[in-house]
Amino acid sequence: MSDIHLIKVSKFFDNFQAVKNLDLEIGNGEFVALLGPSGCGKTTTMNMIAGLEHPTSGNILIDSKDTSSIRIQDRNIGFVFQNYAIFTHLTVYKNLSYGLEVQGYDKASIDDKVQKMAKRMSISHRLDQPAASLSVNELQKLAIGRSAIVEPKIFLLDEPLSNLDASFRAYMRSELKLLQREFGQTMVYVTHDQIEAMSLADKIAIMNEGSLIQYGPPLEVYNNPNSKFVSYFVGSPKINLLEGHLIPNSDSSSFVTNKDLAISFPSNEKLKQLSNSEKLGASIGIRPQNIKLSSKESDKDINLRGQIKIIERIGAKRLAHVQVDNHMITCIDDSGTASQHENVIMTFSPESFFLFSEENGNRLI
Amino acid sequence: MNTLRKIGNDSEALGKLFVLPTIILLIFIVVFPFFMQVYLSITYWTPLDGIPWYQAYEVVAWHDQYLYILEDDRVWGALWRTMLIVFFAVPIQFLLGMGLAYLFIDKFPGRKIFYSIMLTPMMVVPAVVGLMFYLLFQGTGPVNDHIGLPSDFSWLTDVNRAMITIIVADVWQWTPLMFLILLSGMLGVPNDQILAAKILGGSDLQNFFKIILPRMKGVIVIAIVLRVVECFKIFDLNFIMTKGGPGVETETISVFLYKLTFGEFEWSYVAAIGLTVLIVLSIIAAKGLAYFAKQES
Repeated sequence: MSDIHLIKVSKFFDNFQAVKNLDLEIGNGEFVALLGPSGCGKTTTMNMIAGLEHPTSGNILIDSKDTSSIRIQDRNIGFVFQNYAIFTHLTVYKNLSYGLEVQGYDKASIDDKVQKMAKRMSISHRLDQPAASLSVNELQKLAIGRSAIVEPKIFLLDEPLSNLDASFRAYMRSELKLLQREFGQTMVYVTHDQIEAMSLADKIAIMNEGSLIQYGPPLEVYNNPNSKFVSYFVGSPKINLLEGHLIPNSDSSSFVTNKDLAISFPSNEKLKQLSNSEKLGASIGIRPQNIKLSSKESDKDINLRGQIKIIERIGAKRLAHVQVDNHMITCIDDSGTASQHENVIMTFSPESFFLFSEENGNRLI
Repeated sequence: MNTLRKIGNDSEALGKLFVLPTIILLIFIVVFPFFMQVYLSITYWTPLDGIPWYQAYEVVAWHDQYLYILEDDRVWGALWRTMLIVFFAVPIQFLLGMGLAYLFIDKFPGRKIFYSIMLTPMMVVPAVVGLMFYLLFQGTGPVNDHIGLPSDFSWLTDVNRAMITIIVADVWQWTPLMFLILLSGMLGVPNDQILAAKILGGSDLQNFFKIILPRMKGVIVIAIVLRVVECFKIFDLNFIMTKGGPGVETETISVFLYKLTFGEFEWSYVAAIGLTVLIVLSIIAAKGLAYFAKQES
């Protein structure tokens, strides 16, 4: 178990800056997901923790020790590659024993550990077979087992589930969580799949274009996004974002979209502070989960009238895509009875939406 | 016209028609000389006999030439010296090539330029390489000059040292080929596997022997078979540098055959020796490739 501390870490590839001034603290035994779209610098960040890349500037401390002069071999890190990097010319047994062999364990304890790990990962029946003959699912287990067997201080996983089929991915998600509890290691997990990040991680670090945008527990990030990017990236189904401008006022403010839909709501403290300014370019964000479909208006909520255009079924849930003026707004049909072309009233509370500045995407309220 | 149309419609006949020129060419450059060689090797014919080669059956010897090979010390001596060169030159080329290839996996400034320079010796005509090393190893040449040896310290005319010069020249010329083949094999080893091995705690040496080398088996076999077969036929270098001398000290099988052909005109005997060497080399190559195929499966 170890803590990881990134201080003002930047990484340049020629003129391209992949990671920008990253500050990140990962506590002992924490499971942290680095989440972001492709090319956001998450894999580069993880490679720097592993020692596969060197930061252009800044420091990475593991257990308060600067890692810049520590060789990859001596970092005591477990790394599961996206494509597993299994030694396909060796047997499953030899793959599992590799780390122990090179570290000079004696034969008996190697055998003991390999047997236990194979049992743990349920690949015991495959031990004598060439690793090249394994299925993708088994390769995944082998990759995790091979890294876990040397009992690393830190476990790094680079999109380990992205090649798996859907059902096995769900199984591996819970398996990973179990493993982490068992081993108690600090885990860093890179993914672009927010569901994976939300369900596995203790904390999520959301990155975009090389910068850390928000860092916190999954629910915090979901309920309290600090920016338009985070609100859009986290959450499924995606948040409804309407662009327009805000007219702040001392009692009641209003938001007018680019397509002239006006939404009024009581001003809170922050809006009152803004009330002197003129109209402000902004976006409003409402999560589909926070919108209720109703037949009558609610006094204390914000009401929008519209017509259901499409009903979409996602698993057990039904999504209603409602046309309000010229906007399409998605909400969850809790009742399960809404039908296409039905005229409905969408209600949501004034506390349940977010406002983001158009200028920098930061959260206003 | 009709026949042509018929062939045009029959794809198999058309295919045969298209490969016919190549087959005819091959018959003239491979099959015919081969059978001519087999034919001559069972006679006593030499061009000095005054009868054309196709009437060589008048002096038929059957297997006598082959039996003579068995007791001819000159053949065995030449074979032994050839093997000696192969035995030293190929492993040295392999080790140097492997070491250089390992250095070239990582990127470093000027890698491309070094790469091009590295490959140059391979492109030089072997006879020119022979000439270069002939000049380098002169008593008053740069080699002696640099290591501070007296000008009467001879390399090329010394019984013990002449062979070394041949091996050095061959190593200089053919290490690049080894390097090229081994580098391509080494680059074929997935980088993430090497990184995974490193992260698991393996030192560079351990990872080299346990991950990189085993994965290169196929390429290594090809590189060595190729070089053994080529090196076995070495001619230009020793012909230019030492003419096979001093005495017969650097006379390889090719140089020996050359002398026999153009000095003694023993063409039937040369045919028999050539055929024997061909068979021996074929067996070596086949064994090597069979091993390779086994590894692959």
